[in-house]
Amino acid sequence: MKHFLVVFILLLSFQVQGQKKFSPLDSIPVYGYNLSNHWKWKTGDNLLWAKPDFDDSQWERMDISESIEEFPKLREAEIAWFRRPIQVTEALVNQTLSISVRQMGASEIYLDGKLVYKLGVVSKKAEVEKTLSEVDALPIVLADTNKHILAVRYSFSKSNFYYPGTNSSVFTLKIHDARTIGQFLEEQTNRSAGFLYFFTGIFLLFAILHFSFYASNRTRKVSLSLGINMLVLTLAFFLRSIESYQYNTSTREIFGLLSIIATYVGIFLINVSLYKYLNQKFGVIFYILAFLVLGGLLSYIFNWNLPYALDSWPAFLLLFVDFIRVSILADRRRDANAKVPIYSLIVVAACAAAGIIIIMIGGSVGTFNGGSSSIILSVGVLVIIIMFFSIPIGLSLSLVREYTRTHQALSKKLAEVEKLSAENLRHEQEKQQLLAAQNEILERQVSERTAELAQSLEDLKATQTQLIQSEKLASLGELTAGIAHEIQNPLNFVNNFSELSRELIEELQEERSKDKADRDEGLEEELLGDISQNLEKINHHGKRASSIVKGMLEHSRASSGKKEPTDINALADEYLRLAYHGIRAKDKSFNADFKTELEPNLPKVPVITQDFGRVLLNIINNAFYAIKDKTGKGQVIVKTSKIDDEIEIRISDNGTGIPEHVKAKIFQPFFTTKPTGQGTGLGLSLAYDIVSKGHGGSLEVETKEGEGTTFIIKLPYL
Amino acid sequence: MKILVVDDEEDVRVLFQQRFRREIRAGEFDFNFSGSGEEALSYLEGQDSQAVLILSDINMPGMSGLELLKQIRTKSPSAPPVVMMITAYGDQESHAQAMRLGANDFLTKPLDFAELKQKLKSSI
Repeated sequence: MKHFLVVFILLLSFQVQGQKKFSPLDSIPVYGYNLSNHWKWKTGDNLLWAKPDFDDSQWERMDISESIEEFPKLREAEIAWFRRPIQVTEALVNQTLSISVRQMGASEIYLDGKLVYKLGVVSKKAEVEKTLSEVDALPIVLADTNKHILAVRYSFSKSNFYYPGTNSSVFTLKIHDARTIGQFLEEQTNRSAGFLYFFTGIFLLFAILHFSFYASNRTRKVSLSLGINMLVLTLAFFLRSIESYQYNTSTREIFGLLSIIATYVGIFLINVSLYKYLNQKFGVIFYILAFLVLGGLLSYIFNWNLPYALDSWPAFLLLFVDFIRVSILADRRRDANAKVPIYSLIVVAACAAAGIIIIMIGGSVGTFNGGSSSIILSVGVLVIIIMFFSIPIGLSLSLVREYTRTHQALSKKLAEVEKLSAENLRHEQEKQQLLAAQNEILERQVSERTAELAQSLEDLKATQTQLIQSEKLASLGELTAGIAHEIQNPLNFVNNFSELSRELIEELQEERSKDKADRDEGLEEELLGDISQNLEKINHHGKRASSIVKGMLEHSRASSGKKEPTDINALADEYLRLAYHGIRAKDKSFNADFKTELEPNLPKVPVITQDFGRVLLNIINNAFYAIKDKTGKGQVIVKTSKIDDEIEIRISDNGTGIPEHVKAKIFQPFFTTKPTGQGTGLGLSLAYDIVSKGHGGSLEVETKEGEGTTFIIKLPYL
Repeated sequence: MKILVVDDEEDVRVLFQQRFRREIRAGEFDFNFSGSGEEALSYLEGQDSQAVLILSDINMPGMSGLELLKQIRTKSPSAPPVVMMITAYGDQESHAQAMRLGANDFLTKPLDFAELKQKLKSSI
């Protein structure tokens, strides 16, 4: 009993049965009758030993189904003879029996001294000897119920290879009924080949599966480990199946040895895979187990036997214990996979229990020689096989399940992602629609606002026009008083001189009505002269008034925009006066000195008279405004001069001056320092525009706070 | 009687000469004319108390009539002549100011020459 697995495989192939006392063969069971006992043997070679009447009482008894390792003398002699009586009852006389032989070396079978079969070529010489390990269905007939002698000439030269732990028998001979041997052999072959190929296939499939897993995901080393594990177990079964087709003993032994090694390695690799699977580090226990398993393998191969077979089972038992230990450790670590080996172990335990029960049932039914016990045995073996491989297969299935879970999780995730992306898309579209809608609203609002702004702009323009008009009217208002005063004087003269003239005419008529002698010719001439002079004065002052009115009209009239060569001196003088009288008219207490310093040879400059007049009026008005608090000591000077191709008009006052922070703003529209309602704030702004844009000139200011201000207008005259 | 007329309008001279033709011819009035306050002051300095009556316009460029009045009343107290102020603007404020500065009378334009004649004659 070297090894569980091998034991059970052997159980399948050779059903051992014991028979204590020699008795004639009465009936032959379906699975054959094993002639393993009642043999005697002797080393050496002598053809006489085949004779039935040879006395073999001095020969040693043996159980020739034992391993060759048990027969060192045979091993040493290399050739030997085995003898055994064979006898049948009436029932089997003249019945064709079939002999099946399993052996290590080569043999010749003699019945009653007569060679019946040669199995291989028997010889001590290695080059001559030909081993034949398996022969089935050799017919043999016993013609009577007498005792016959079965002698076997057997050789097993030293050149043949075998390993000490081999389970192969030296020589096994089984007798079958020739009528049933075919069926038996078929069933047996089916059973063992089916069993071996079933597991070869299973493990190969798992190997391919795990290698595929590993190919698809190199990070999972457990797949590689399990793949190798499954491949090694595949090999273990495959080599075992090949072994059964080998008829040369050495070759058969080599395959057997390799299969044993593969089995041990495979079983140990289960542990490696479990460690990998549960992320358990290889510790001292692992290496001790490795050592134990190695020791078990070596003791198997070299047939080292310890009491209670301690060389074989503890290593495997400890492997199981370690499975449990590692699983529990993983479970404590809350590893999701920890349950799988535990489930497998439960299956192992259940199978072990079931196997024991089945074997016990089998034991109670009979000594494995009935048909039912054969089936029970098969079931038991299957259960134990399941027990052995439930762990690696459980791991495999667990991995598969894990992959399935991963796949399902991934599918679920994918579906979720698809759903999310669909939602995202929908949101995006909603957003886009919202954006589009908002954009539309915005555009509508923008167009509305634009329309409003355009309207506002129109309004502003209209307001500006109105403001400019009101600025004009304001300046006209400022002028009106001055103009009224200006007109008043010539009108007074006109009235006075016309009245005087009427008086003079009355006087003249009076003189004329006198007698010629009394008439004073000289007086008459004088009166006529005065009248004439008065008429001239009337005319002069009438024209003067008329020109003032004309000027006023020009000032108020909208700009014709036509430039005409203008005498700037006259214009400056006129507006200086108008401004002065205008202020005087409003503020009776106002008094100031003003004078002109005019360049006599000033060329005529093309200007729009009423526009430019307004500029002068505005600046002069400002000058007077600046000196209003100087009670008579203020002075405004208008000075003209010619500089290169420009004329320059300087309007100076000795007033308050303009503070620096105000100076920057004075040309801005609507800026005013006057109290609310008294100035439009457009005067200087308009003046600036008229000078710069309307006449291509410049308007500058020089000022010093407390000392006065000078506005300088420069106009090109060419 | 020497009368000084101060006005920036040149034709005032012709006007007065004609209006007071008879009086001038009769030698009642002797008119002198100044175009501005400054001219009037320099004239007065030269004549010194010869002029007994001054007719002055208020609104003149440079020294105004009121300034002239003030000068006369402050600087030549020795010979206080009769000063009559004439203005185109017959407002209350100018009138009051003129009176405060020591004007004898306040006339508004256009002048009523008959009335002026009366006032001149009565002030002799």
